[in-house]
Amino acid sequence: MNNTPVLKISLVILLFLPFIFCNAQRCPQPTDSLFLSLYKSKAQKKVEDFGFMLSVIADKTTDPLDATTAINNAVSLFISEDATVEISGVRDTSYRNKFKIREYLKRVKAIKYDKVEIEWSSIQYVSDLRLGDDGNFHGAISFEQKFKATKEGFIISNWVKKNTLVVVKPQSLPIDGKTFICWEVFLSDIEVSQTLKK
Amino acid sequence: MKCIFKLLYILSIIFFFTSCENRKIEYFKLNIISSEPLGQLKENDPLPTHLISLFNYYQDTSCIEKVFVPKITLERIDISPLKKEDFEIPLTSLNQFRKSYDLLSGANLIEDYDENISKLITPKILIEPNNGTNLNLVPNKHQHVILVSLDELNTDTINSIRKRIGAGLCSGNLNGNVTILFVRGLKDSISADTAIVKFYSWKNEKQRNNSEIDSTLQSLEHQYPNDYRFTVERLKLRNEGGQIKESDEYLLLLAVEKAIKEGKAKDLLAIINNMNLPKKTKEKVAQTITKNPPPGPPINPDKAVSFRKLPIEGKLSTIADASYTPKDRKQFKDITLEYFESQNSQVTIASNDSSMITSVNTINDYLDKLRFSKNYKIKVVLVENGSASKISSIRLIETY
Repeated sequence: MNNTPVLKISLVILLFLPFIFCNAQRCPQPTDSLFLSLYKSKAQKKVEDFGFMLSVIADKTTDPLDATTAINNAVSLFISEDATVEISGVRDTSYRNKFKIREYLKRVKAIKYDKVEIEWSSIQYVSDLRLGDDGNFHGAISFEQKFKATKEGFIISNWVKKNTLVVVKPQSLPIDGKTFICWEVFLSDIEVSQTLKK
Repeated sequence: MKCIFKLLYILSIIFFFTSCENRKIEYFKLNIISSEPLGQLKENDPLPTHLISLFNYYQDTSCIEKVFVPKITLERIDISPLKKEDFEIPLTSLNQFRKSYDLLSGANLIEDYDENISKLITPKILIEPNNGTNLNLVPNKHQHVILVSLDELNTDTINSIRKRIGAGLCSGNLNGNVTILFVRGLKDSISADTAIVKFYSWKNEKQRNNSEIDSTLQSLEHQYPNDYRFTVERLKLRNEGGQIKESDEYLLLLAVEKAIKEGKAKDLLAIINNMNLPKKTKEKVAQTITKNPPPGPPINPDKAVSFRKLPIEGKLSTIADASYTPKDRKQFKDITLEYFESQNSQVTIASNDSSMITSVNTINDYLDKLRFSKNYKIKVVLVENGSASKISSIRLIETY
């Protein structure tokens, strides 16, 4: 039949048309080459920012209203209020306990010492961002936390290595009156992996 | 072979009409009521962007698989007899066909809206002159009313309304029916004192459900951003059994912050003391108020003066500079906000080559992020000025 090639061509065109017209995004998508590197560095920066916020919240000279704003900002870095932070004991290093993120930060704010210093360093990936079954990207970042508190001349301190999970997930953002699906990186549960020094 | 091709051909046609992706479209009623002709518009002129954005589709992070599409009705309550008409966003004939057979996917619709919505023209109903009809400003017959002052009808206001509608539709709180009432003089002609009295009488007029009261209070908070009383009313509404949920604690803090700024901390304390709240919470509020006297002049005027001289890019990078004290950074934030049209002015963060958007925020939240972060370098790519040369939106690149 003469019209078979016409049928074939139109079939191919029809099959591909929807894909041609379906992609009109302005935010980086997983198919973009910069996607992974962009969100990898964003996640690392968020971990660094969280560590800094923690030091502000713990600082006894921070204004209480500023500390509350810092707590809200810090919580917003996490995937949900249910994300947990594991702590280890300062005296008994085998002691472990977990708190929900807001509860943890409130405890940090309320630590009863004259001076508290928390410092995060050696922030690096232990597991690269990978696509999970839930359609989100997951990874893990490790860091070292130095804690030092002073009360009436006595100093207590510990130095632990911790891991935090990071999740990159899509969310809708209103931009110039339109809504776009963009990806954002969030921190998730933080766990103690090793006590380095008392 | 021919049969297989024919079958594939038919299948591909079906695929063509139904494909793209599986975002579901949910329609909702959007009643837009105005108490006067809108601005200086003329019939068939392009519609202003803030109105276009109101007519656009809605999405929210909590249910990204859904696209909410308004079925718009425009109403004028200052014309006798009351005038009401439907307003449709045109779809291509193909999508109109898909819609009529329930085959229209979210992506199909979004494409059409993105392409055509900016071309909308002003319908006659919005510009018809008032003919002296008396208004009934409390729209009792409508549920979920959002009051918008015509004096504040701008992109920021509409963006915050869009956020509320999107979240409300996702959570199911709006029951697929939203009314937006544009009225003039909500702020100018009624003082906050009168507004709160009016609110009480409106609330007590008849049985009202919590979401309706909450929505009205949110509108009033927007109109009187510095008055703590509307925030306290919202707090009371959510304060069941003498406990404040953790997620609502921010309302208490917000009320405290507003009261301190306005020098009304003692009045707030009296209200809080009369509320059925845990003793610990009351003590915490009293403590915060004692520790935070009303704001005075900048602590270090020289620092403030030199900060003001910096270009906007320098200002932002300075706020992000961790070598400054938290107090300085807070002061820098407050100064920077003065250069923006409102606290809700949009900040868009772009990728390093500026080709893509990586996140969006309001300037207030963005500056809070910067002042609690460590050493971002900011490069400003685009600044859009609004009224009185203040910045209405800004696009940035962050490096670290």
